[in-house]
Amino acid sequence: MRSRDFIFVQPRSADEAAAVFQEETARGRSAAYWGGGTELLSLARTGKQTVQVGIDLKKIPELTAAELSGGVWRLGAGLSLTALQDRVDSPLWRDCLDDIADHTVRNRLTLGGNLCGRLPYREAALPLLLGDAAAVLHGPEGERRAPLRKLMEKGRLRLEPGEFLQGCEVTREAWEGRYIRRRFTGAGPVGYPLVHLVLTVKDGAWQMALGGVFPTPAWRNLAPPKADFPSWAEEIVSVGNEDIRGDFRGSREYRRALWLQALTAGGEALFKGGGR
Amino acid sequence: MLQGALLLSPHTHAEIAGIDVSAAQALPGVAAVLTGQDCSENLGIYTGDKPPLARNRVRHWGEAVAAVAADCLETARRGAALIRVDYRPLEAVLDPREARKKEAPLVHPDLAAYGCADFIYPEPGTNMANHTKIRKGDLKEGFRRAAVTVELTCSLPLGDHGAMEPRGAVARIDAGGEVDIWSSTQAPFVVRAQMATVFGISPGKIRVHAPLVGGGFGGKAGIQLEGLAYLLSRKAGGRPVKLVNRREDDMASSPGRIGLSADIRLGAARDGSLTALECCYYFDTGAYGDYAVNVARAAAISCTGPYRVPVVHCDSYCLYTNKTFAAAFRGFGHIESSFVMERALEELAGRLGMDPLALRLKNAIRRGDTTPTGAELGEGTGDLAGCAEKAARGLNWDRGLRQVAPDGRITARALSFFWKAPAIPPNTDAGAVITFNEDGSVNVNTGIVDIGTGTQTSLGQIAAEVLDIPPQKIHVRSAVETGTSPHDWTTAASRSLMMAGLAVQEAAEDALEQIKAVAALPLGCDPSRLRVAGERVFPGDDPAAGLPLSAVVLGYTYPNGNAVGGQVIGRGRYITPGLTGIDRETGRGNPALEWTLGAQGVEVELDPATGIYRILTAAGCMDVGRVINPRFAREQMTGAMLMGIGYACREGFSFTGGGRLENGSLRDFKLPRYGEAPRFVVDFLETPQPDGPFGARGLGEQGIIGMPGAVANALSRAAGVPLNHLPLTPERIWQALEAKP
Repeated sequence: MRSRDFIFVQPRSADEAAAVFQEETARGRSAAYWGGGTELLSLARTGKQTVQVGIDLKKIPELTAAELSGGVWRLGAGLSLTALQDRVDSPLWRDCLDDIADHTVRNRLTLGGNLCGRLPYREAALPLLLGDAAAVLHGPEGERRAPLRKLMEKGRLRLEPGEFLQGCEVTREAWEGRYIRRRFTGAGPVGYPLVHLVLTVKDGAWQMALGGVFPTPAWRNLAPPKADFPSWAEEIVSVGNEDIRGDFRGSREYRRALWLQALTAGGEALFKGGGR
Repeated sequence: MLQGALLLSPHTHAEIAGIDVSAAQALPGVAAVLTGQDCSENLGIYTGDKPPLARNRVRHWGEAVAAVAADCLETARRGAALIRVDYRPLEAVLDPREARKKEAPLVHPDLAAYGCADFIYPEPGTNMANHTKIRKGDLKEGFRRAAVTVELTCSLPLGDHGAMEPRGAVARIDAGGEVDIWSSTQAPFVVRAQMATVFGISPGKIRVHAPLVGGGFGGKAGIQLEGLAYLLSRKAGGRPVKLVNRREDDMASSPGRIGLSADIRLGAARDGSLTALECCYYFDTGAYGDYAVNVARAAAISCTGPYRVPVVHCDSYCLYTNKTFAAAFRGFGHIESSFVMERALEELAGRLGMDPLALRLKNAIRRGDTTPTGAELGEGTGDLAGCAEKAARGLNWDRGLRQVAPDGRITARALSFFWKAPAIPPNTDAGAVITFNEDGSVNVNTGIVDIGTGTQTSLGQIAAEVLDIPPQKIHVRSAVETGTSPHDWTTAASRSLMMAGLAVQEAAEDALEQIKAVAALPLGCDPSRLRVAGERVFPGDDPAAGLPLSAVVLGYTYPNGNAVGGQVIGRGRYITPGLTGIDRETGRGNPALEWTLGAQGVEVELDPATGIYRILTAAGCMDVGRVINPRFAREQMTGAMLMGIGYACREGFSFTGGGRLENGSLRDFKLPRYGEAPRFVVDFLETPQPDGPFGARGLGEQGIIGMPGAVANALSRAAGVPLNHLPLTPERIWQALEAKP
């Protein structure tokens, strides 16, 4: 593979990274924050990305930490998905990341890249949305915190100019419920999701996070099912039906059917005490 | 070396009203800019229908429109992006059945002006690139004798070979006008012939170098980027130019595999004996004919599969459409015809209430039966029943055809029989030269390109066997160069082991005679009394009384310095004997050298709620005459079966309504992964091929051929609905289940 020439900067602090971005942009260069490069490099190879300056975030301490303190997980956005799977002892978290791309890609793909990239799927957001995570952002004005659910209301993570995702914070408790997860692709184990459903129940409260079905990741509180799981699922699926995506990877009808099927079976299993 | 880049068409079908290359030419570092206007010649294996760059019109999305050679790749790409093309979009035709209609837009209005091989029959004024007919027996009578008849429509899409190495070529022209071309090609001699014919270069002035090739699967058998690299070099004053496809460009602009839509009607008597077959193939060759016009012909020749069918009518149309064009692909017509026939047989078994294996066994072709072209199967006809027995055992056939588990999952099994003959010119040749080194070790030089099949190792084994020298001391040249390697048709059609194998065998025998003749002088005996074994040549059975080969193979030198004999150079030749073309109206003839027969099948597990399935087991057995290298044979068969699973389950180009290729990258064109491979059970039978080396016949492609039919049959059985359209994605199965009454 041969890419274009570009400038690659490795700042050592979050402030420095934000400053480099500002300087380079002021010079008229197009700059982008750099995680694992899985998306930027492959887009560059086919000429679909022409960034002149890549600002690598992987040498910044705040972005490469994953730790539990005071019952809160702090997850650095510059860590690869496999590193985050290794370091964060939560079955829900580990499991949700497990089907994103393939293992080789997950060794490079960072949390920040998955949430902030151009690809719409952003499956790492599913457990974070369920856990009502806070996003820690860093920009020219310094650090700020905002609920991820609010930041992702419109699908893409809404960042101010020059801002980048430093990490996410989620309470350990938030991930402690039981869950069921089902993921379907158009073909084979590796691929973009047609449906990625995570259904959780904790203290009687039901939630659903959904990737692949809509143009961007979705999250909802659900009314608990009673006994009629098909009609419970049908009611959930009928909300927002018109926005279900359809493309050559899978039609709207098929995505809807897979979602409905997974929800019906998952709802019943969780209701009967199943799941992890 | 200059680096080349291509500008590809963003239109499916358009007139090129103008091209402005001035900005590209002005870019520092750009050495040559080429457009369709720079070359009046057309390329083509059988039909000269393809300009090296689109000239006056583009015929598919992703067709190369202009090329730039520059000091570095980045500059070449920037230069290509600076070229402005004025396109006037034309109405496109994307479906082969539509292309056959009178009112369809013409992809090649100039079809009449193209040169064409004498066994390819295009129809100027239409989109027909070739039409092959088989007329065997009286169709009316055949169907009158049928108690049960089935009719089906089946289809499969265009697709990509997915070879690991994308296509690439380097060309240079030296001051004396000698041309060197390095190419990732399966067919260096075809490239040379094309370059000579199309560009008017004397063949002796062209050296085509074919190094180790990173996978071909037929996609590198035609002419690819060589002509374009040559033209760029010519425009750049002969400087070497390197042109290598990016993966996405390789899929869009270089040839893929053929598509098909087919109608089949198959009749059988009450006892299951087949009485008549009628089939009509609408092959989709995309914008250019390349090898596909002959793929469509091979499908007609093989249309019955390895079954005895007394009456056969087949029309195989090969049609131009405005899509990525098609080359050869592993299975070459046989995989397509097999899919259609095997689907029909499975439906027929259902209608007859017969076990599908029993139906196949009842009609399995045997020695003395005739093929669709009327040729008789001879002494080397493989043991289909024996293959079927082994494949069935591998699939746990005795557990039944279909089971439903308590959780609703359905397990089903299906078997198919397959056959393949090389689709080759009647005068296909091979050659081998054997020379020796000072230590008595051996060099084997053939025209066979190393495309990853292991053929060279097997050729070395043949030489080792004849010369009785350890295989470690046999050095098979893996790079081919047309000026020094013996002439060879093409490394394709699963014919290398058999044909080059025979040439190597003859060359080794020739070398043996020469060794004996040289050794006879110092040993003072008649050459006929000498034996060669264990790297020595000796009289009778006394190795100690003889000489080491190292003392003989470069001539013998007496202790006093006198030398005799000279070096040993073994020569071996092969040319196919007794083959003919086929009659234009009836298809009668003898175009097939040998048929490799086999049986294979799969065991699948389907979740009917989602259409998601797994292939649990794939089992196959092939009668290859003689297994020369057990490990390579097994790996060829296993690899072919997995490739067949990919072909059946998910590979295939997807075009938008406007003709844009929408899954033209490995992100979305999903080849099977190792982790998805089923359990493989692979075996071989050995009914010797009388005219093959040590009784061997071809086995490279064959393992793919029956897989699409077997997979589609097993899934149709599991789902309880006929699945006649590839690829069988889970969604397609779900749709069929949803539509089930």
